[in-house]
Parts: sequence; C-alpha cells; structure tokens
Amino acid sequence: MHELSVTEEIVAQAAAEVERRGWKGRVRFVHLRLGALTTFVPQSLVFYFDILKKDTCLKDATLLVEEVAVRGKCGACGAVVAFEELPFLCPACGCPEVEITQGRELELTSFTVDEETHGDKSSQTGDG
Amino acid sequence: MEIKVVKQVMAESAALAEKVRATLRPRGITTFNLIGAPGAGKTSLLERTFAAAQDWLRPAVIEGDIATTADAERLALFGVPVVQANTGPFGGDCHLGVHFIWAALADLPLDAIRTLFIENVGNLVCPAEFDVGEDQKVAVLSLAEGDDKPLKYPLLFREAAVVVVTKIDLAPYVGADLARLRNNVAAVNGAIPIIELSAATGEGLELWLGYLREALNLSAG
Repeated sequence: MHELSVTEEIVAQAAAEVERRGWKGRVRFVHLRLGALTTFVPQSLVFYFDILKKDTCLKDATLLVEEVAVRGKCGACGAVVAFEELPFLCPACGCPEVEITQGRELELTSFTVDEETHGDKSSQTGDG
Repeated sequence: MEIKVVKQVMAESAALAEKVRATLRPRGITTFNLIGAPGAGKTSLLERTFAAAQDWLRPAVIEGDIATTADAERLALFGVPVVQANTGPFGGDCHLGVHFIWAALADLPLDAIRTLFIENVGNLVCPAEFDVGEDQKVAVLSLAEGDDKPLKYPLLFREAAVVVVTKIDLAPYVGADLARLRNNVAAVNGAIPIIELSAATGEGLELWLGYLREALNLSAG
C-alpha cells in the first residue's frame, strides 16, 4: 500500500517537470527506473499512476517502469556480481560481506514527448 | 522524442531526513529506528531497556502507530518523553514518513536527551524503505514469527545495522530454530550483528545494552 504515497510523489514531480518545460498534453511516456531490491511493486505504481494522473497534465501519459537488477561488490575479492536471488554471498570467494551497489533505484529518468505539431515547422525541415 | 531528466523520486524526503540528522547529531543525540512486525516485541524491548538503562541513555521516544496511544502510554510510565505519531485512525500509512519525525522533534526536549528511539509502525516491509533521519535502523524480529523471515523480507535485513531477535524463550514452543534464523540472516546480510534476547526473562538483554553503549560511544561501567 505504500506505493500510493510514492506514486503521488512521482506524479507531482513529473507533472512539475512537464509544466516547467511546457510539454503539457504532449507527454506519451514517463520513464522510471526501479531497483529490484526496493519494496515497490511495478504494477502497483502503474495502477496508482493511472488514477492519480487524471487531473494533471499527465492524463494522457503512461508510466513505463524499467526494473534494475541487484548488483553487488565483494568486500574481500572485489568481484562485481549480479544477483537474481538470495543469498547475497560472493560467488567467487564465498565472502558474505557484499556491498549492494545497484538495486535501490527509484528515479525518473526521461520523458517521451510528442513533437510540437503547431507553429512554425520550418526550422525542422531540410535536415535530411 | 525521449528527453532525459534524471530526478530522484525520494529527493525531498531524503533532504528532510538530512535536516533531522543535522538537528540531532550536533546535540549528541543518537537515533535508532526500530522496525519489526506487529507484535515483534518492540515496545517490550524499550520497556526493558528503559528499566535497565534510563540513566545513561536519557531516552526519548517517537511512537509510530496507525492508531491508538497504547504503546506511548506504556512507555510514558517510565517518565520518558514520548511523542505519539498516528498515521491514520482507520488504516493510514504503513510506515512513519520523515515528516512525522520532523514534526515530532518540536515536541521533544532535545537538550535533555541523549538517545532517540523511533518505534516505527509494525510492519516488516515498508518502513525499511524510508530514511527518517535515523543513525541506525534496528530490525526487531521475534523468534515466534518464524526463522524464514529474513529471506521473505530481505530489504530490512540489508538496511538495518543490527538484528535483535526477541522472544527466544519461546523457541521450544514455536518450532523456530535459532541456528536456521542466523543462517537466513547471513544469506541476506553476512555482515550484520545479531543480538538474541528475551524481554520476558531478561536473557540476552546485556548484549543489547552493550550494543547501545557502544553505539553511543560510552565506555563500559
């Protein structure tokens, strides 16, 4: 259930960015990176996003969640490892002191925005 | 066209958490964020802790619950400053957000305390996710919940600085195995210390007090 408050934050930040950059009504996708070691469920974020976006400039946008795998670095031998499951032990040397270096991400990374269809388009022509 | 705009979603709450730390640390206050399931024994652990070590801990508590002031009342009996944070009477937030902590600081005698305990909303999942300005997260897990829990809720056991296993006196009755629990904690986090105790019998409590003493940089005695 804590996806609701997090998605409120996502919508607020994304909407503010869209307003600031004048992309209102032209945003197709909002891209989010989500680490696999967070406790947020991607489907829940999308579900809440579709509810919360309705009264904002993101009402025509879709949230796309890119899941980021868990990676770690062994404190003993320095091996860099991708983890798909527990245990978080270094597969190279067996050491348990693994520092997690990736997998806690929760960040807006980009927006897919339609080109402006009105106004002067002459500057966009003739570039091959 | 896709346009890159990298923004940390939690940036605002992370900034407020730093503000909490910047308020507490210069005053020499060490902050522990206790996280565990409902009924793990967080309040009982604090009761035992205050009964044994209130003089040198000089503690205060921010008590997080969805509803009721029951736990705050239990702890106020020790004469400890307690602020109750309720997240909603009929099922509010599943964790304490840092804004609750920031607001609660105004109601605490910060110049008179040395240790701040935040008893988070009973929940093994969500509170692990949020930085509320603590120095350490403390995972509180009762043996009665089963020895498999670290594998099922790994984030908390990654984020915590220490695991306190409570209710070890119940081991014979609940079919949970301490050795297996230790292995499961190690599978998630091989570097985390584990303290095993019973608030009911007092067994192991010294280990916890020793841990706190060390965390507060106090010499033994």
